[in-house]
Amino acid sequence: MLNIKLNLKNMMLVAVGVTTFSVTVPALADGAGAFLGGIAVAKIGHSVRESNEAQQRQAAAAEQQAYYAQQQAQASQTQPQTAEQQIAQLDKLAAGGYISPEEYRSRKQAILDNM
Amino acid sequence: MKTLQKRFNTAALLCLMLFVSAAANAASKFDGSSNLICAAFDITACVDGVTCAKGQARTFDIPEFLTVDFKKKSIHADYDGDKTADSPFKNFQSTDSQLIMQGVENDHGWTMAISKKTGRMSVSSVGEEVSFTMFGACKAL
Repeated sequence: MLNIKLNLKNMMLVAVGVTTFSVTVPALADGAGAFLGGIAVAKIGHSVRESNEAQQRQAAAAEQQAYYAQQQAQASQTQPQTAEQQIAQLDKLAAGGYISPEEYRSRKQAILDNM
Repeated sequence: MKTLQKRFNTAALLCLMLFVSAAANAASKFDGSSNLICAAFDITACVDGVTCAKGQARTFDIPEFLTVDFKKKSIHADYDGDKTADSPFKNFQSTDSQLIMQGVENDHGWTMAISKKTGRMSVSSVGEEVSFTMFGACKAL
Protein backbone atom coordinates (compact mmCIF):
# COMPACT_ATOMS: atom_id res chain seq x y z
CA MET A 1 0.00 0.00 0.00
CA LEU A 2 2.83 2.30 0.94
CA ASN A 3 4.65 1.41 -2.31
CA ILE A 4 1.58 2.25 -4.37
CA LYS A 5 1.32 5.63 -2.65
CA LEU A 6 5.00 6.35 -3.31
CA ASN A 7 4.66 5.35 -6.96
CA LEU A 8 1.65 7.59 -7.39
CA LYS A 9 3.61 10.45 -5.82
CA ASN A 10 6.56 9.81 -8.17
CA MET A 11 4.26 9.69 -11.20
CA MET A 12 2.71 13.01 -10.21
CA LEU A 13 6.16 14.56 -9.83
CA VAL A 14 7.17 13.27 -13.28
CA ALA A 15 3.94 14.62 -14.76
CA VAL A 16 4.56 18.04 -13.22
CA GLY A 17 8.15 17.96 -14.51
CA VAL A 18 7.08 17.07 -18.04
CA THR A 19 4.43 19.80 -18.04
CA THR A 20 6.94 22.39 -16.82
CA PHE A 21 9.51 21.31 -19.41
CA SER A 22 7.06 21.40 -22.29
CA VAL A 23 6.01 24.92 -21.34
CA THR A 24 9.58 26.21 -21.19
CA VAL A 25 10.64 24.76 -24.57
CA PRO A 26 10.77 27.64 -27.11
CA ALA A 27 7.92 27.49 -29.54
CA LEU A 28 10.15 28.29 -32.53
CA ALA A 29 13.05 26.00 -31.76
CA ASP A 30 14.55 24.07 -34.67
CA GLY A 31 12.93 20.70 -35.12
CA ALA A 32 9.57 22.00 -33.94
CA GLY A 33 8.12 20.36 -37.04
CA ALA A 34 6.26 23.39 -38.33
CA PHE A 35 7.54 24.96 -41.54
CA LEU A 36 6.06 28.34 -42.56
CA GLY A 37 5.30 29.38 -38.99
CA GLY A 38 8.14 27.34 -37.49
CA ILE A 39 11.61 26.69 -38.86
CA ALA A 40 11.23 29.26 -41.66
CA VAL A 41 10.40 31.97 -39.12
CA ALA A 42 13.16 30.86 -36.75
CA LYS A 43 15.83 30.66 -39.45
CA ILE A 44 14.79 33.89 -41.17
CA GLY A 45 14.61 35.77 -37.85
CA HIS A 46 18.04 34.46 -36.84
CA SER A 47 19.51 35.31 -40.25
CA VAL A 48 18.12 38.87 -40.30
CA ARG A 49 19.33 39.56 -36.75
CA GLU A 50 22.76 38.11 -37.50
CA SER A 51 23.05 40.09 -40.74
CA ASN A 52 22.02 43.28 -38.96
CA GLU A 53 24.58 42.71 -36.22
CA ALA A 54 27.30 42.08 -38.83
CA GLN A 55 26.36 45.32 -40.61
CA GLN A 56 26.46 47.21 -37.32
CA ARG A 57 29.88 45.71 -36.53
CA GLN A 58 31.15 46.73 -39.99
CA ALA A 59 29.77 50.25 -39.57
CA ALA A 60 31.37 50.55 -36.13
CA ALA A 61 34.71 49.30 -37.48
CA ALA A 62 34.56 51.78 -40.38
CA GLU A 63 33.70 54.59 -37.97
CA GLN A 64 36.59 53.62 -35.71
CA GLN A 65 38.97 53.48 -38.68
CA ALA A 66 37.83 56.92 -39.82
CA TYR A 67 38.34 58.25 -36.28
CA TYR A 68 41.90 56.88 -36.14
CA ALA A 69 42.68 58.31 -39.58
CA GLN A 70 41.41 61.71 -38.44
CA GLN A 71 43.45 61.49 -35.24
CA GLN A 72 46.59 60.64 -37.23
CA ALA A 73 45.98 63.54 -39.62
CA GLN A 74 45.56 65.94 -36.70
CA ALA A 75 48.68 64.58 -35.01
CA SER A 76 50.77 65.06 -38.15
CA GLN A 77 49.47 68.63 -38.45
CA THR A 78 50.38 69.56 -34.87
CA GLN A 79 53.77 67.77 -34.90
CA PRO A 80 56.62 70.21 -33.87
CA GLN A 81 58.99 71.33 -36.60
CA THR A 82 62.45 69.83 -36.76
CA ALA A 83 65.56 72.01 -36.19
CA GLU A 84 66.22 71.92 -39.90
CA GLN A 85 62.70 73.19 -40.65
CA GLN A 86 63.00 75.91 -38.00
CA ILE A 87 66.36 77.14 -39.41
CA ALA A 88 64.95 77.07 -42.95
CA GLN A 89 62.04 79.19 -41.77
CA LEU A 90 64.48 81.50 -40.00
CA ASP A 91 66.52 81.78 -43.22
CA LYS A 92 63.39 82.88 -45.09
CA LEU A 93 62.58 85.48 -42.45
CA ALA A 94 66.15 86.85 -42.57
CA ALA A 95 66.19 86.85 -46.37
CA GLY A 96 62.93 88.75 -46.38
CA GLY A 97 64.34 91.31 -43.98
CA TYR A 98 61.78 90.48 -41.31
CA ILE A 99 64.48 89.89 -38.68
CA SER A 100 67.87 91.54 -38.13
CA PRO A 101 71.14 89.59 -38.50
CA GLU A 102 71.57 89.67 -34.70
CA GLU A 103 68.12 88.25 -34.16
CA TYR A 104 68.84 85.63 -36.79
CA ARG A 105 72.04 84.57 -35.11
CA SER A 106 70.57 84.43 -31.61
CA ARG A 107 67.50 82.51 -32.74
CA LYS A 108 69.61 80.09 -34.75
CA GLN A 109 71.87 79.52 -31.74
CA ALA A 110 68.82 78.92 -29.56
CA ILE A 111 67.56 76.29 -32.05
CA LEU A 112 70.94 74.58 -32.15
CA ASP A 113 71.17 74.67 -28.36
CA ASN A 114 67.82 72.91 -28.07
CA MET A 115 68.92 70.03 -30.27
CA MET B 1 -10.83 2.83 -100.13
CA LYS B 2 -13.61 2.86 -97.56
CA THR B 3 -11.40 0.84 -95.17
CA LEU B 4 -8.59 3.35 -95.59
CA GLN B 5 -11.01 6.22 -94.89
CA LYS B 6 -12.29 4.40 -91.82
CA ARG B 7 -8.74 3.85 -90.52
CA PHE B 8 -7.91 7.47 -91.11
CA ASN B 9 -11.01 8.58 -89.21
CA THR B 10 -10.15 6.31 -86.31
CA ALA B 11 -6.58 7.65 -86.16
CA ALA B 12 -7.84 11.22 -86.32
CA LEU B 13 -10.30 10.52 -83.50
CA LEU B 14 -7.52 8.99 -81.38
CA CYS B 15 -5.29 12.01 -82.01
CA LEU B 16 -8.11 14.33 -81.03
CA MET B 17 -8.77 12.36 -77.84
CA LEU B 18 -5.06 12.45 -76.92
CA PHE B 19 -4.93 16.19 -77.60
CA VAL B 20 -8.02 16.84 -75.48
CA SER B 21 -6.63 14.64 -72.72
CA ALA B 22 -3.26 16.43 -72.78
CA ALA B 23 -4.95 19.81 -72.80
CA ALA B 24 -7.13 18.78 -69.88
CA ASN B 25 -4.05 17.58 -67.97
CA ALA B 26 -2.23 20.82 -68.70
CA ALA B 27 -5.18 22.87 -67.55
CA SER B 28 -5.65 20.87 -64.40
CA LYS B 29 -2.04 21.08 -63.27
CA PHE B 30 -2.70 23.88 -60.80
CA ASP B 31 -6.25 23.12 -59.79
CA GLY B 32 -5.47 21.19 -56.63
CA SER B 33 -5.80 17.75 -58.20
CA SER B 34 -2.05 17.18 -58.45
CA ASN B 35 0.53 17.73 -55.76
CA LEU B 36 3.02 20.48 -56.50
CA ILE B 37 6.70 21.06 -55.98
CA CYS B 38 7.57 24.72 -55.51
CA ALA B 39 10.86 26.59 -55.61
CA ALA B 40 11.37 29.69 -53.48
CA PHE B 41 13.03 32.54 -55.39
CA ASP B 42 12.90 35.84 -53.54
CA ILE B 43 12.29 36.44 -49.88
CA THR B 44 11.84 39.69 -48.02
CA ALA B 45 11.79 39.47 -44.25
CA CYS B 46 11.40 41.95 -41.42
CA VAL B 47 12.19 41.57 -37.74
CA ASP B 48 10.37 44.02 -35.49
CA GLY B 49 12.67 46.72 -34.18
CA VAL B 50 15.69 45.33 -36.04
CA THR B 51 15.58 45.66 -39.82
CA CYS B 52 14.26 44.19 -43.06
CA ALA B 53 16.34 42.08 -45.41
CA LYS B 54 15.93 40.76 -48.91
CA GLY B 55 17.50 37.64 -50.34
CA GLN B 56 17.05 34.14 -51.59
CA ALA B 57 16.19 31.00 -49.67
CA ARG B 58 19.85 30.16 -49.17
CA THR B 59 20.48 33.68 -47.86
CA PHE B 60 18.19 32.83 -44.96
CA ASP B 61 19.20 29.17 -44.75
CA ILE B 62 15.69 27.90 -45.41
CA PRO B 63 14.65 25.10 -47.80
CA GLU B 64 14.64 26.10 -51.47
CA PHE B 65 12.01 23.54 -52.37
CA LEU B 66 8.71 22.70 -50.78
CA THR B 67 5.89 20.41 -51.79
CA VAL B 68 2.18 21.01 -51.56
CA ASP B 69 0.20 17.88 -50.78
CA PHE B 70 -3.47 18.59 -51.42
CA LYS B 71 -4.65 15.20 -50.17
CA LYS B 72 -2.84 15.54 -46.86
CA LYS B 73 -3.60 19.28 -46.85
CA SER B 74 -0.03 20.05 -45.93
CA ILE B 75 3.07 21.88 -47.16
CA HIS B 76 6.21 19.89 -46.67
CA ALA B 77 9.90 20.81 -46.69
CA ASP B 78 13.16 18.96 -46.06
CA TYR B 79 15.97 20.90 -44.45
CA ASP B 80 19.40 20.56 -42.81
CA GLY B 81 19.94 17.23 -44.54
CA ASP B 82 17.69 14.88 -42.65
CA LYS B 83 15.05 17.05 -40.99
CA THR B 84 11.52 17.63 -42.20
CA ALA B 85 8.88 20.24 -41.48
CA ASP B 86 5.22 20.43 -42.36
CA SER B 87 2.66 23.18 -42.40
CA PRO B 88 -0.86 21.78 -42.42
CA PHE B 89 -3.47 24.08 -43.90
CA LYS B 90 -6.95 24.23 -42.47
CA ASN B 91 -8.32 26.62 -45.04
CA PHE B 92 -8.14 25.87 -48.76
CA GLN B 93 -9.95 27.86 -51.40
CA SER B 94 -9.85 27.68 -55.14
CA THR B 95 -10.78 31.03 -56.63
CA ASP B 96 -11.01 31.86 -60.33
CA SER B 97 -7.29 32.47 -60.62
CA GLN B 98 -5.64 31.27 -57.42
CA LEU B 99 -5.29 28.32 -55.10
CA ILE B 100 -5.19 29.76 -51.61
CA MET B 101 -4.06 27.89 -48.55
CA GLN B 102 -3.93 29.25 -45.03
CA GLY B 103 -2.68 28.00 -41.72
CA VAL B 104 -1.63 28.99 -38.23
CA GLU B 105 1.47 27.72 -36.45
CA ASN B 106 3.32 28.93 -33.37
CA ASP B 107 1.27 32.13 -33.24
CA HIS B 108 2.12 32.87 -36.87
CA GLY B 109 -0.50 33.08 -39.57
CA TRP B 110 0.52 32.18 -43.12
CA THR B 111 -1.06 32.30 -46.54
CA MET B 112 0.11 30.70 -49.75
CA ALA B 113 -1.36 31.64 -53.13
CA ILE B 114 -0.59 29.74 -56.33
CA SER B 115 -1.67 31.03 -59.73
CA LYS B 116 -3.83 28.46 -61.50
CA LYS B 117 -2.61 29.74 -64.82
CA THR B 118 1.14 30.08 -64.32
CA GLY B 119 1.96 28.22 -61.12
CA ARG B 120 3.61 31.30 -59.65
CA MET B 121 3.63 31.18 -55.86
CA SER B 122 3.36 33.87 -53.20
CA VAL B 123 3.67 33.17 -49.51
CA SER B 124 3.35 35.45 -46.54
CA SER B 125 3.86 34.62 -42.90
CA VAL B 126 3.16 37.12 -40.16
CA GLY B 127 3.75 37.01 -36.45
CA GLU B 128 4.69 39.14 -33.48
CA GLU B 129 8.37 39.63 -34.27
CA VAL B 130 9.16 38.07 -37.63
CA SER B 131 7.21 38.45 -40.86
CA PHE B 132 8.23 37.48 -44.36
CA THR B 133 7.06 37.19 -47.94
CA MET B 134 8.30 34.60 -50.38
CA PHE B 135 7.88 34.45 -54.15
CA GLY B 136 8.49 31.41 -56.29
CA ALA B 137 7.03 29.02 -58.83
CA CYS B 138 5.43 25.59 -58.73
CA LYS B 139 5.29 22.55 -60.99
CA ALA B 140 2.92 19.58 -60.84
CA LEU B 141 4.45 16.40 -59.48
